[in-house]
Amino acid sequence: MSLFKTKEVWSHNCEDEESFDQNSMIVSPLNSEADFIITGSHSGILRIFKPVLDINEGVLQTGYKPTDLILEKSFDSPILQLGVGKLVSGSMLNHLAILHPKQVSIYSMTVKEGATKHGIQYLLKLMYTHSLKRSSANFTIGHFGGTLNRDFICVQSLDGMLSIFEQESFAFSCFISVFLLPGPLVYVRKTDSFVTSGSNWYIQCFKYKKLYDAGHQSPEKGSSSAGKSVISDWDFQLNEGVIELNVLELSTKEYVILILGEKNLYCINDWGKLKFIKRLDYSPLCFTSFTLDTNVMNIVVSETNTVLVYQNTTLKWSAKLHFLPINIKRANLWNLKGCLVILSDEGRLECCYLGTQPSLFVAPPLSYQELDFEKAETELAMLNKIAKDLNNDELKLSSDPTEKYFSMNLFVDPELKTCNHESNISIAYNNQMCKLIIDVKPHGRLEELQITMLVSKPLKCVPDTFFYTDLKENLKCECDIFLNEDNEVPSLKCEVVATFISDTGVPRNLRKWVMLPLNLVIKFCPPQKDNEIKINLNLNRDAVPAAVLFSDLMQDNPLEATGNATGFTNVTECGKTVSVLLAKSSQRYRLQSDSLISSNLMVEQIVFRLRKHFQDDDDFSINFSGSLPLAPLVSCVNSHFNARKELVSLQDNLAQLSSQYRLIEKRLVAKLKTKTPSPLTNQGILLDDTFLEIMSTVDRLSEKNAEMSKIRVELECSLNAVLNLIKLMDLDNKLLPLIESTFQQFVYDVDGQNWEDVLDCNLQYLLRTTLAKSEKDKLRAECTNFEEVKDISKLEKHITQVLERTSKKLSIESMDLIEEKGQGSSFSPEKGEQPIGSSLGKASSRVLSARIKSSISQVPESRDEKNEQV
Amino acid sequence: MDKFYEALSLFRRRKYDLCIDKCTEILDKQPLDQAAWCLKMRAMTQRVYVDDIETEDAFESDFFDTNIVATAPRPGTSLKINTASTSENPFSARPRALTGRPLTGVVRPGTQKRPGSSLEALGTARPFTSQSSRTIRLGTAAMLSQKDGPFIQFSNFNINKYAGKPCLSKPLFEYLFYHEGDMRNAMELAIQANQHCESKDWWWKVQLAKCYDTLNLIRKAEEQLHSAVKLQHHVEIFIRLNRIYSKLDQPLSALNICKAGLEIFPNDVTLLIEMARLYENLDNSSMSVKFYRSAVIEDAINTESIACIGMYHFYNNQPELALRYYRRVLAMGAHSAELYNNLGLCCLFSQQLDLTLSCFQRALDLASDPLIKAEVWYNLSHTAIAAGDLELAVLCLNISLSADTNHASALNNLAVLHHKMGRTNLARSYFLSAKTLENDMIEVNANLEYLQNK
Repeated sequence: MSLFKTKEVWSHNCEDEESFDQNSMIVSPLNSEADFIITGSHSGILRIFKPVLDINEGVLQTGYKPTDLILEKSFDSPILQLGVGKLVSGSMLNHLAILHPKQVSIYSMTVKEGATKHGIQYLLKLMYTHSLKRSSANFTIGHFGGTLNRDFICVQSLDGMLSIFEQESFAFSCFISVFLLPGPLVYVRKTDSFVTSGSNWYIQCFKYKKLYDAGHQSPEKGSSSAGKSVISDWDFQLNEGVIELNVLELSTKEYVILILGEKNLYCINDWGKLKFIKRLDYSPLCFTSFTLDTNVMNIVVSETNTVLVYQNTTLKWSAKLHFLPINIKRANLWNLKGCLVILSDEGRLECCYLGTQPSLFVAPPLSYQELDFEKAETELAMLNKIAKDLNNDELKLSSDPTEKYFSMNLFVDPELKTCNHESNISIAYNNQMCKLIIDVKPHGRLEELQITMLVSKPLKCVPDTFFYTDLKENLKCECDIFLNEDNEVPSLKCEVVATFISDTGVPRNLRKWVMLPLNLVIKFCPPQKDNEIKINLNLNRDAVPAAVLFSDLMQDNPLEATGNATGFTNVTECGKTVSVLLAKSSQRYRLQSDSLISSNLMVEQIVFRLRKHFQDDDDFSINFSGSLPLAPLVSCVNSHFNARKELVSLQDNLAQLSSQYRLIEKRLVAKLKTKTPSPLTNQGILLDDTFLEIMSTVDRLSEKNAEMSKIRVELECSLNAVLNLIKLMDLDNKLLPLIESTFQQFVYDVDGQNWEDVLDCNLQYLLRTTLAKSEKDKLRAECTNFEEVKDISKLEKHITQVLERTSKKLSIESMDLIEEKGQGSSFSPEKGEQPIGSSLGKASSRVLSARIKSSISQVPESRDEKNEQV
Repeated sequence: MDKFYEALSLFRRRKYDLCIDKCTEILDKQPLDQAAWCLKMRAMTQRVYVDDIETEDAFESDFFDTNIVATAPRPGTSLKINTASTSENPFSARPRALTGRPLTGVVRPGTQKRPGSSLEALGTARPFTSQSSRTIRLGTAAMLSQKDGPFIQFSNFNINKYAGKPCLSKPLFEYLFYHEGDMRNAMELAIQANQHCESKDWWWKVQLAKCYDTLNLIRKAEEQLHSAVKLQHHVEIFIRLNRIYSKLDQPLSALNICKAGLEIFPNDVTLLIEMARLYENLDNSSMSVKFYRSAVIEDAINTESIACIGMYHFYNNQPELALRYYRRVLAMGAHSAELYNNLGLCCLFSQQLDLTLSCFQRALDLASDPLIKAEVWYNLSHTAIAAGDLELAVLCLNISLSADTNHASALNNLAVLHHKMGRTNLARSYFLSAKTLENDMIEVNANLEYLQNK
């Protein structure tokens, strides 16, 4: 990540397979005024470079010249570290120290002048050698003990022994106490101490004096194999691995130690006090530091090939490097002061400066060809056409008749069999089932097909769904339908829904229904004479005797249906008897029963059977003229409402209890988590109690649910009965669907909305629109939202009103002129349409403004303002 | 050359695999060589090491989380509620990420779940530990590469013995924590080592806090960090404390920690950015940008700060300034679909139309993630709208939706365009599906309300 890259002025590649490490290069002027670059590889090759950059007509001549390598020498053993200092006694000249694994040697470089420039010879002369008993790791050079003009060497071995060599003579050795892996070692002149990074990840400082004492107290004085271990003077808890150490003298005569850790760059002063930390968000490789005025400058190289220049903690510059170095130094070359010398571990050596040469990132070119506009236009037109056709196709496909894909036929096996499925019925002997057969004939391939059978609640269908994939051949599905509970049956209609996805991927569905045999749920019984509910059905043809009408029931016991009165009752004997009376040649049926619920099914069946019987007769009609059985319906609604209320209160109770349970649990968890255990203070009992209470509530809830489902079925029965009767009342075509949809026979109670809420809303709507008595009613606001019904009496009133007005309207209409009827009914659609039409004009401008608003606040809504962090 | 020196040198030169091989050679000969053992451990740790301060940890607290301070925090004291802010430049006008936080200029772990990350794949129904998926993954990946079984068998390992050796315990802990992902043993070691050094080494306290944090014992971690910071002022401790408070949903305490840290380490970039992020999450954009600016002054190549400042200008209707910041990021070598997308948007709004399309083209070329693609096409639809080509805009939005079917904003804009073309019912159904995707999107609700009331 940088804007600039470094400018290379001089570079040298080492051809052989050599490896270098961070101690393999030093930059030193030796005894001249500009710096030499000295490298020593692990293969034992020493090279001394003197990069001379000539200035020719004001332009710096860059590049490596063969004469820049002034000396190359091969040693038998690897070179681990190089150093320069006044290491020869009696000489003020700088000498070169080379560390091999088992010895340290001091050399002096002499120059033998030649006639020409390339005739100059540089010679390396061995001054003295110390051999080491232990494998060495690194060394440091300095005026130990405050000696002037004399430099000593301190070698650290791989196992933590420090050996001090006072020029030609060995002084002493000692051990570092806490040691495992050797860390970098530096000498701080001001405090006359060594600073190293210990294996316990502390920065440790050892005073030279302390080492001296320890070294000279040891019994085997003089031998390099032993020595007393020393404890550090001060520790700094750095607590991370250290890559490099540097010591700097500031202009204020203060010494600072710079530490490059694996994650941070630290600066501590000479007695171990932290000056600053710079957290690095990359992983550093090596660094070099120098002072500028009073500031500490650090040049850090990161693993991402970047060189970063920090002034204290502030980043001053960053530039890209051409390769990854292992070592970086700052050198004053001939004609170029303060340039960077970097060395990679394969031996690439380079001198460079920062400069402002931009590191231009060139994005790879896009592989887009020049557009041929005409071709592109035709292609675009074609693609547009495909897109448009696709939309049209979808519309076309969705309007295809379903029969085109497949046909479905339903048969009910009239023979009943004894039920072999498990059911909740108490009396088992008359438990029977009937077989429903579904024939599916696909006309092509169907991707998926699902067939679902829907029956009213106490009836049950096993299995209730079929699912097929990749269907091509004809199919026969069989399922059994039987009574599952002791209850009345709202309807014997069985609806079959087939949902499928055609091979073009269009989802469609198909619905069919079939009437189930009556003897599945109804049996004969003796008729009763006097009953509460009487329903008269008038025909415009002669009544058909019951024996003919119910011929399928007749087979079992032909005797009972011979008279004019016939009794029917549920096979489970849970309902009341329904008696069907027919007066001979009176064109009238009379149904008598003690409950509307029981008579429901007979009304449905008689109507269905009569229509079937007279299906060839177009003028045939059935009429119901009596008053609708309101009271039983209302009482059913009432009981449903009350049951629902109880159910809701039970649920609330359960919610409260379980939240209480959770609270206690949470409290217990908190108690158990604390370090010091405290008594539970009977919270266990509280938990158990709440649990028991929850269980009993759940039991009551499930009881209530069972009761509720029974009540629901009863309500469905009475609704169906009333609906069937209304259908026979000759209502006009517009009102009938409204009424029909209001008194839907399916009763659903969902969370937060009861069946009553929906019904009440619908009723109010009817009362204020179609069934409005006066103009004033019509002016009242339409009821559009569902409110919870609190007062059942109001709902009852509404039901009564609607049903009364329905029957009344019928009587008025039959008497009045047709015109009025037309007026009344055509009013509502007009009223609905007018506002829609008029507002369309205004519509577009408003949404436009809404869009503009949305696009302003939203164009930035482009969620994409993220940049990967690099 | 000494083999051990070679191994050391290889370790320093980051050739960890070679270093491990070297150490194995030494250990084959001398199985009890502690130094080689330690070095091998270090190399194995370094090979898989990831700075765990920046790993993704964002997870929603569950019901039994006893660390929650307030269930209904006051406005401005929590990171979790996204109420409209009261500052002059509220972020609420900005798009938000799926988690409800305002989008930042940078995808950074912990604040945003990256699309397609394994955390997302885990789903919401399953409770997951605070251990980030990265640590789980690392353990298994490292195991694969070791052919002859694990390096250290921890089943019969005497932790107490190693806890007392200061030179071995620290590398061992890091090995356990980063390489093995074995929190239980790591914590055991940390506790015993802390006792051995008589609680005088702040590092062990921080490591203990790290363990507690992974085990979701946040309050204990806080305790440890507070005692560590008393021993040594260190940037890392301040950042970890700040993270702890963010986890506890106490942004104000986190800010105070950062302020205290900045007093000791003035102008520390990490702390400055930490503060900027906190202010950003608190919907205080002006303060956030102030800190990002200070960070940039200190560290001029901080991409996160530059991108965030760029985005601040973009949403303050200064696309030209934003363009300059993004170009800077580009010049620094970032090369991603998101960057080109942002450049394209800036060009579009600063009327440099000639560059807009080529920027988007590049963005499309680079985008591999379908979600990013969807965003680019969504932005392209704005270019089409700006050019007045509604058909093209509809096409762009359709392509965007085909890449990301859950893009609520695209659905909303598509609906608006369809409404403009007179297809009211279609528009309404698009609005409704946008609403189901993102329930509290202001635009959708306003548009739907308008359609309702007309």
